[in-house]
Amino acid sequence: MLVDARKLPSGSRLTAAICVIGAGAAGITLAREFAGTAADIIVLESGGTAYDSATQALARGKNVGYEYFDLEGERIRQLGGCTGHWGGECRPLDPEDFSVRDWVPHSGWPFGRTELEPYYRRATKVVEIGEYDRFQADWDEITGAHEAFQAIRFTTGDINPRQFQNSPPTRMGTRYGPELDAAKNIRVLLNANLVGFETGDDGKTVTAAKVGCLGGPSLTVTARAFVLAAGTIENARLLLVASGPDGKGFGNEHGMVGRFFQEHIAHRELAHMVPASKPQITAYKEAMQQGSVAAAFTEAAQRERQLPNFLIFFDAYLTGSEPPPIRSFKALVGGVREQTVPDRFWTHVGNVMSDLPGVTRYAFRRLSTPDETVGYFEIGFVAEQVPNPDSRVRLGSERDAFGLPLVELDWQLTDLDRVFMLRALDHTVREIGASGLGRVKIVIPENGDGWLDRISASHHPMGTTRMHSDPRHGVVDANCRVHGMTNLYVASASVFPCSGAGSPTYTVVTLAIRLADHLKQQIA
Amino acid sequence: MFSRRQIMAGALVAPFFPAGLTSAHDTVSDTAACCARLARLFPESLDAVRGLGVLCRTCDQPSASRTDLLDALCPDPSARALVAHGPDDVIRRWADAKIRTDFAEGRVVRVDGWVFSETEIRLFSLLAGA
Repeated sequence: MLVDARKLPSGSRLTAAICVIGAGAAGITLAREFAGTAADIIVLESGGTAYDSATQALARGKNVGYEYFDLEGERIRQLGGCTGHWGGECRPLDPEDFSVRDWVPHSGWPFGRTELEPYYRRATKVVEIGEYDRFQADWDEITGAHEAFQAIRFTTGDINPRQFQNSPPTRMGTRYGPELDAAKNIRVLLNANLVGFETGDDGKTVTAAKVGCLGGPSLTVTARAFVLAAGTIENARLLLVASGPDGKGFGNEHGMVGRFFQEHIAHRELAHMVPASKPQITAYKEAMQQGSVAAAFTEAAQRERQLPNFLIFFDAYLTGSEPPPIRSFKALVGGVREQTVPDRFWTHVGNVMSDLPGVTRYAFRRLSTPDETVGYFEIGFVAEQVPNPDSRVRLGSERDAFGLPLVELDWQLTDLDRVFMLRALDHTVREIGASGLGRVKIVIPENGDGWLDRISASHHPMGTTRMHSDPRHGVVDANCRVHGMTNLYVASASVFPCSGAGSPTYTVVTLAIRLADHLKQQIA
Repeated sequence: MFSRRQIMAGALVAPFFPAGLTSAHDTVSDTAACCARLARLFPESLDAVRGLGVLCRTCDQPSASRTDLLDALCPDPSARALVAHGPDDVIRRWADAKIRTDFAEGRVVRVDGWVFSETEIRLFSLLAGA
């Protein structure tokens, strides 16, 4: 059931088998796995069922590293969490993402992808996509479904397609809220903020979660196991807050909490390709909307050429330059089609308003003339970031309404990210030529000068409580249990030791299902 | 961003060697005749190719003679004989394969951002002087 924690008597002490902190993709998925079982579950959700500015302000923070999104707007403190604004693109991590690769520092998971495959299959239902095997589509299947993809069909065998599937997208708050409300063994406490933990004498067993409500009561939740499912940035913050005066508690004995913050690096407009075969631009874009197709080097080719995992995207354009108002108009239309708000939304609106007659003429012409063929493709990458211990979340000096420190995010890339981008581009262009796909013009300097100005993050924060079997190198073990703690677990993209290049939400849901199975055994 | 003219030039060259060439068996084997045969590979885009060739010559081996370039393109007698005497569609496939191999093996040259294979650079440079 959904319960407004503000209406509970102050000092209430609630008991459950498992207490989950956070009702986003991970927390809701985990709780649902217990629906109808004998286990009592309490989920603490900072927000309610609708947006509340005072609650959202608890997500404030400061960016002190490379340019990143506003931390308050990036995250959603509301039932459903960030599924309230995700784009819905799903793709599992690739097998190579789990491997230790000696050319990618700090790479590797404690297990391979085969460990996750049964859970990936179960997760398809949660995010409401098609069969898992669709992700394995090869060039024959992809071009068979959409002839337009022939234009980007590599023939050398070293580059394979990467098929995405689109979730509706599943807004978990609205989609699963009624189900949680009806579940007799699940209590979702809304407007309930974790403000601290109580531990046993050894400091290694969490006995209770201390809960605060804005302008409301204070509560305590006792449980046999606790799961932090508050997202990559907040998970690290809560552990750091809990780590005690010496900062060594709650998985931070080796100072690892908050480190290895990662994003998917979006390298925009690296090159243009005039294609040898020109599909109709509308057909190409419609095919992409049904499920994006990117290209990526095979595991063997990555190993041979010492490349990280990265996705090659081909965005189709007509010939010639398009003025900013037209490009902005397209960005806004694309946002409407994908039900997302494009980055730099207000800039786009301003651009469109600056030449409304021109944009109107353009829109009319596009509607009244036959479809045109692709003039050129803009080539961009979405790349895994090299795991970097100096890229991190820290506690800042500002405090929230409960007196807890707000975060500072210090997103840092390394020169190896630049080197990998250049190497990846070089090999991509060679493969395009070897496949006879078209003619390429590289639009960045040969040494990559200015590369930082051409990248952006992808709204995919990951890695601050990374998984590693050795507590000197990670925060949680292979079962997502915090090192040194007996009953504290973490669920979310914060446990990713390496990011791969696919969208993280689907893997977050997958890991939550896996953790639920583990916890069922633990509390049985 | 490209101008329309740049796009058109790129588009014309992109398929490398358009189909529909004649398959006459010329008997000429001298450099000029080979150049003329190779020029027939670009029936509709020769001007664009020559323009690219001028650019290529300024960037890569500006002092190379046509004979040097042809020797580099056809380093063995059989290739030379093919260019001199082979059917146009066979020449096209030979050059196409050579270009793809260049790309696969990393024999590429960047000219004003455009990425060409060494074979193309030689071919364009050769035709620029033809």
